[in-house]
This record gives sequence, C-alpha cells and structure tokens, in this order.
Amino acid sequence: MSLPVISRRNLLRFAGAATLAFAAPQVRAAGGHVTATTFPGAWEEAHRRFLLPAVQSATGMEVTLTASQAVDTVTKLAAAQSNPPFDVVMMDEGPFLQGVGLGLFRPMVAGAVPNLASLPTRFVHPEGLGAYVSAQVFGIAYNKERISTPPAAWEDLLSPAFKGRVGLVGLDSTLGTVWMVALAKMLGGDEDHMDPAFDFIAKLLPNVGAVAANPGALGTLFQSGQIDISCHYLNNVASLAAKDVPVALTRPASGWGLVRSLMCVTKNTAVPDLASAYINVALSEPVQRQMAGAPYYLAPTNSKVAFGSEMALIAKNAGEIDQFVQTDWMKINPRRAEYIDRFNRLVKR
Amino acid sequence: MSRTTTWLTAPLCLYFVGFVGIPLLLIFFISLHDTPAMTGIGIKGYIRFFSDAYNRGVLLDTLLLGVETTVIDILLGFPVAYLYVAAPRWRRFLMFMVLLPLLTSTVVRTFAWVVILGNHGLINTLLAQAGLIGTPLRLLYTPGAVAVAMAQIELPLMILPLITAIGGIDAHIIEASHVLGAGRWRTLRRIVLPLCVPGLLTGTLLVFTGAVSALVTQTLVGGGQLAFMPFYIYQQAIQAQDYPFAACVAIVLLMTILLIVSILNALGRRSAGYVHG
Amino acid sequence: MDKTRRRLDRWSYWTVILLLAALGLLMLALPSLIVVATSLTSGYSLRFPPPGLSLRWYRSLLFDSPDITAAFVTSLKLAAAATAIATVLGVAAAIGLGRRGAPWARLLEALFLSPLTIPSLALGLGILVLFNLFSAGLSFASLLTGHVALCAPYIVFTTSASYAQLDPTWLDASRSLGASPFFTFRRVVLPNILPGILSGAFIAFMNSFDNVALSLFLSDGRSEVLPIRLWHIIEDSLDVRAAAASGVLIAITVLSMLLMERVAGTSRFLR
Repeated sequence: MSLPVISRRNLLRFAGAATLAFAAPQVRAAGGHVTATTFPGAWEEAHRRFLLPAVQSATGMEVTLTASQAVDTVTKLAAAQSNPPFDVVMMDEGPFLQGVGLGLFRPMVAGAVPNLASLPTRFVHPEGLGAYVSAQVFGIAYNKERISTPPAAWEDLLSPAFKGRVGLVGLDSTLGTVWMVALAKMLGGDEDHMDPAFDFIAKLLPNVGAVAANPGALGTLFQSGQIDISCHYLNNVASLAAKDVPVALTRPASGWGLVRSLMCVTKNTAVPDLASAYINVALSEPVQRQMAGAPYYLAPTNSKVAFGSEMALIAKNAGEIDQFVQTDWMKINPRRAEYIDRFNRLVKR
Repeated sequence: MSRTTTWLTAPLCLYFVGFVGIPLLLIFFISLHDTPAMTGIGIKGYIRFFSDAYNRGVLLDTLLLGVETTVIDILLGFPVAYLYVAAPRWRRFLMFMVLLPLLTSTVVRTFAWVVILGNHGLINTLLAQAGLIGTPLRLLYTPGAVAVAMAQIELPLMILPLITAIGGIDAHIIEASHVLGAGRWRTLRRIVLPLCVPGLLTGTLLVFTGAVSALVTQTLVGGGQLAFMPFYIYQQAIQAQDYPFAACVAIVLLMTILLIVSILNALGRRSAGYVHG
Repeated sequence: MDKTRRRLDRWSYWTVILLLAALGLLMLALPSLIVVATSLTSGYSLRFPPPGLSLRWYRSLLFDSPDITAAFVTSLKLAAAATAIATVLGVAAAIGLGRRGAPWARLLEALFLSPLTIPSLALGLGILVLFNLFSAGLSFASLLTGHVALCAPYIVFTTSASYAQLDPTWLDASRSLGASPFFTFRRVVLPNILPGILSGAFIAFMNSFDNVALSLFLSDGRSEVLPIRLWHIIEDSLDVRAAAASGVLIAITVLSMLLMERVAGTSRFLR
C-alpha cells in the first residue's frame, strides 16, 4: 500500500485552494470570472485538463465549468434570457441552430477572438454567433476483451450473442439523435422518415443492457462492464482506453458519422469580452493541439493544427471528414421533442 | 410564557406561506394551463396524464416502489428495533449502526449500490468465484435493485419510530402473556405487533414518502429504462420546458402522497383508540 | 403447553428475529464499507474487490480536484447559512407553539413539518416558478430560500420536543421572581432546550448538505453543490475520486456524529 506523500508544499497548495474557494467572490473581481458549459464525460475531462489552465494563464480569469448537454443548456438559457446562467456555452449543431432561432446568442466581441483568423471561414457563423471548436467522429465502440471479432456493421448489434450487452444513449443527447439518423439513412429513411430507425431499436431491445442519459454515461457503462457494444465518439472511447478500459472503435459498413461542436457567447451576459476571450483560448493552436492528441483525439478546427495520430487513421484532413454521414438539423429540430418522447416510451421496461 | 410568545411563530409562518404555500399553489395554478406556452385554462394536462398508459405506468411503478421499500423495511427494521429494546447492552452499538447511514450522504450510499450490484460488483464477483454463474447476472438497472437500494436508504427511518413504539410497551404485559402460557409467536402477533401499530405507521409514512420522491437513487440504480415520477417532473420541466405538464405530474405525485398520508393518519387515530381502549 | 413445544417456539422465534436483524444490520453497514474499500483501489475502475490498494485517489481528490473542492465549499456555505436562518426561525416558532395543546398550534406544527412529506422536487419546481414570476434570476439566494424551508422542520421538531420536557413551574417561578421574559429565556429556557436545538441544527445541516432535488431546480450554473457534482461524476465519468470523496464524507459524518452525541445527545431526539 503506497502512502500519499503529503509534503508541506502539497498541504500549502490545498490550503491555498481552500482559501481561494472561500474567498471566491473577491477573486472574481480581480481577474474576471466566466461561467462556461462543456459536455459531460471526456469533453469535461479534456476541458478541465487543458482548456482551464490555458485560460487561467492567458487571461488570469476564473472559470466555473458546468457539464451540461447542449439541449439542456438551450432550455436553461431560454428559461432565463435576461439573466443567463452561463456566459459561454458549448453547443452541437442542432441545439445551436435552435438557440440561434430563439435569439440566445450574441456575436463574439470583435477583436477579442484573433484566433478566428486561423479557422476556415465555414467554421465560423456568418454573424459571429458561434465558432466551431471541434469535430467528433462516431462509430461502433466495443469491448475488445469480450468481443474477439470486431463488429463490421450496425446490424451486427442485433446478433443474439450480444443479448443484454448493447448500450443505447438517450435521444436528448446529440449522439443518440445522430446515430438514429445514421440508422434511418442506412435502412432507406432519412431525417423526415425515422420509422426504420425506431423499428431497428425495437428489434434491438432484447439485446439492450442499459440506456445512458448522455455519451459520458455511456462510457461509464463500458467501464463498469454493464455493456460491451454501442455507438460512441472517438474521443470518449480513446479517453476510456487511457483509463485501462479495453474498448476500441471501429468503422461501420455504412460509414463513420460526424458531429461538429461550437462555442457561443450568450446574449445578455455581463462579460461578453471575457466570454469571447475564453473562446479565443479554446481556438488557440496550443489548446487545439493538446485536445487533438492523446487521450482525447478531438478533430481540430484551427488549420495550423495537424490531425493527431489516432485521428489520422480515420481521416487525413478536414476535407475527408466532410464526406462522413451527417445530419440535417434543420429537419430534425422541429420534430426533436417528438422523437425524444417516442424513444423514451420505446425503451421503457 | 405561552400566551405572550405566540407571535414568535409569525416569522416562520410567513416564511412557509411565502416559500412553501405560495409555490405549491403556483404549481397547481400552472398545472391548469393547456399548453407549454401557458395559454388556455383547463384540465387538459391531467386528462393527458391519465389517458396515457405510459404515464399511468410511471405513476404505478413509483407507488409500487414505495410499497416494496416499505415492506422490506418493516421486515428488516422490526427485528433490529426489537433487538435494540431486548438487548440493552448493545444499544450504543445498534444506535450507531442505525444513525450512521441516516446521516451519510444519500448520493454516497446510492453509489455503493452501483458498486455492489454492477456486473463487476460484489455480488456478481462472489457468485462467479463460487462457480455458480458463468456470465454476470443482470442486477443493476432493474426494479428489484431500486427497491433494495431504496430500502437501505430509508431503513433507519423505519427503525427509529419502531424503537420508540416497542420501547414503550409495558414489559409486564409481555411477561403476563408468557405466564399465561402464550408462546413467543402468539405474544408477538397478539400483543407486541398491535401495540407497535403507531410506530409502524410513522415509519411507513416516512419510508413511503421518502422512497417515492428519491430522485438520485431512482435514477442511478434504475438506469435509463425505468421511469419514476420525480425524474419525470424534472424531464418535463427542464428538458422539455413543458412547465404546465411538469406541474401536473408534480401535483399528481403530491396528491397521491397526501392521500396516502391521510389514510395512514386515519389508521393511526383508529389504532391509538384501539391501543388505549 | 409441553416443554419441547415451548422450546421450539422460543428457538424458532429468536432464530428468525436474529437472522432478520443480522440481515438488517448488514444492509445498514455494507454500503459504507464497500465505498471505503473501493476508494482505496489502485486501479481506474470501481471493481470489487479492488486489484490493489493505494491512496492515490485521495491524493488526487485533495490536490487535483478544484471542481470537487469548490462544490464542497458551496455546499458547506449553503448548509451553514440555511441551518443558521432556519435555527433562528425554527426555535422562535417552537417556543411560540409552546406545549402543542391548542388546535391552532397543531395545525401550525403540521404546516412547519410539511416539507418532510412534500417531495422536495415539487417544492423546488414551485420556488423556481415563484422566482421566475418576479424575474429574479437563480443565484445562491434562490438555493438558500429552498434549503431554509428544508431545514426548518427538523429544528422545530427537536426544539419542541425538548421544550415540552421543560418543567413549566420553572418558568412561573422565574416570572414571579420578577425576571424579564428575555432573562427567563436566556437563563432558564435556552440552557434546557440547547441540546434539542443543536441536534435539530445538526440533522438539518446534514440534510441540506445532502439535498439534490431542490438544488437541481434552484441553483444556477455558478453554484454547483457537492451531491450534484458527485452524482454527475458517478453517472458520467465513474471516476474513483467520487469514491474517495465519499470516503471523506463518511469519515466526517462519523466524527461529527460522535461529537454531537457527546455534546447534545442527538440520538435521543431521533427516537
């Protein structure tokens, strides 16, 4: 048993952190304070590990980071428009478009985000309401210790061998929705014709071991051995593998899927300049390089950053990624609530 | 001191009217709106709730969880309380065992059940090592798992009132029953249990109301495929932004609890009469 | 009744009682023990038994978890503030209620104890709607509002219990000797009901510290409380730090419980 080395320096660090936390309001006044959202799971880990220290050293401001799914963030912002609970938020395309429609975001402060110049123009919203920080790839995640032959297609999930071992993720997550769209397209449907995907899930139910609320929770299910196979993002799978979970990602015959994520400044935030500065750091070359490397492998949007090792196996560059299965959110958004409800009823036992 | 100090209740009274009474009335008022945009006054929300088998299922599952939890807790709580009264030397130890979980964070205790019941958890590991199972049993994310975890969370709240009730029984009555030739089981059935009814009712009230509104345990141990009323309220309010319907679900839960509490209270009054009369 | 039957009766009776009691006690103790055991793992996952023993997750919790530390501080502040306010309001109300004789006093007491049976999720939703109605944004104040209502019942309950045990002749004696009501309160009433107040405050504090349902509706993004932080870690990243944090919480609970038992005899008020 290894005892912790509680050196005086460590103790001082802890004491310092504790006093800092108690004195938080005063500290906020000095370097500024922003409240930001991130996604639960690997995103949160990556942001706490790389982005927050970078923001702290570049701007000196304090950040309160809250993990919240994009859909939940939109509803929280919509509920308190005059006094938004967050200053800068992380969005996927679908909820972003919905948020733009509701007028929840404001343009980034001109001049506060110089790193926008390093982004291809299509990665920046024309009115500056958001900037893409990353693209995520999803495929079939499986436990490579317990499943010896890698699955080749989504249909393989229906195999009786996987009884009680398949994981699903709720449709209020972006991953759940884009996966359902990918299934529908594979089976001859599309964003407006989702029945094939729901029929697929109905057939899959005997195999379902658990339904996760979000991609982070899906990772937890792999870690605790509750499920052995599911759809998942590359970055989450890679971060699980770094925690000694024997999980790998493989390309389904119908192709990799793609989801893009943005950061946006909320309308009526008290600190638009700080929020913009936060986004600037997130887009900066060093942070994007760290996020693109082990163990998170988030595809960078800053064109100065090359694709990392793991990413290179999937695509050589951003152009190739554009060919992956994508989702037309303009069609999904109006019917999203209906799909979420239908899914929840379908999987209830 | 009593007459002149009545005004001292005023501050808390005002606080409760403002921050308990009015909020609950507000929910009721909001539940009487027909659309998420808060237009149209009516009971469409309630009709929507009760006309849909899915919603009725959520309500029934929640009530069933409350009943299962209560039954488990009576079964395990009564012997512990009985032991507490019967073995005075063990009292300090037993009270510690009962109070520690009561004061320990619910999230922590729920988390323990995720570890115990998981595929790599305590039970599956033990069974596998004993060679009894090849593949892990599916324990977590089942209604039974929620009931067991919930019973553990609420058990102290059943034991404490039972200790009061059993401790209050006159030892002479029990002795008399033995002297008159009644066996232990008969004495338990005819004397001890009837005299414990007030304690049982208090415990049932606390355990049942706790179990049906325990969001964290229901969600963490129940997983994504089971639905209970508390998370349903949260989902409708925060995720679907349908405040009127969320309010309907909340009012249905509240009314159900009130109904059960009043039944238990009525039973309590009757049993009090029975005990003393 | 013959001897064997009598012996069988007694034997079966105690076997069943003791077996069930043992099962009950195991149920009560097991979760805390399991959490502490898993928090000492040397691996990344929460397997039981752990692959090896180490204190690495406690180290990581202490030195590399600003998010958990901040949530812990928020929860401490919240529980302390809510308990303080609820104690002032609750003790006053308990004394005002007096000896719970009159129907109005019973009705009021039922009102004050109602948060014990109302699902706090419903209460949280209601207070959220109230704040929205006045366009008051969520903040630490909204959290505090809900938590005071949550804490008050415990204080009213335990204070009333110890006030009821106070011998009324003392109060009359103090008054007839010409003491002012305030003097009587400070020198006669308060010393006698202090254990009740302390016990109630302790239980209220622990409940506020543990509450998720109210905080879920009433906290803004800036003030995340510890149980919600832990809940998210357990659900979304199953990080062993959650077990280490649980270990710390269990230790704090045991210590504060033993302390409160000595100082105020808390367990008397729970029976």
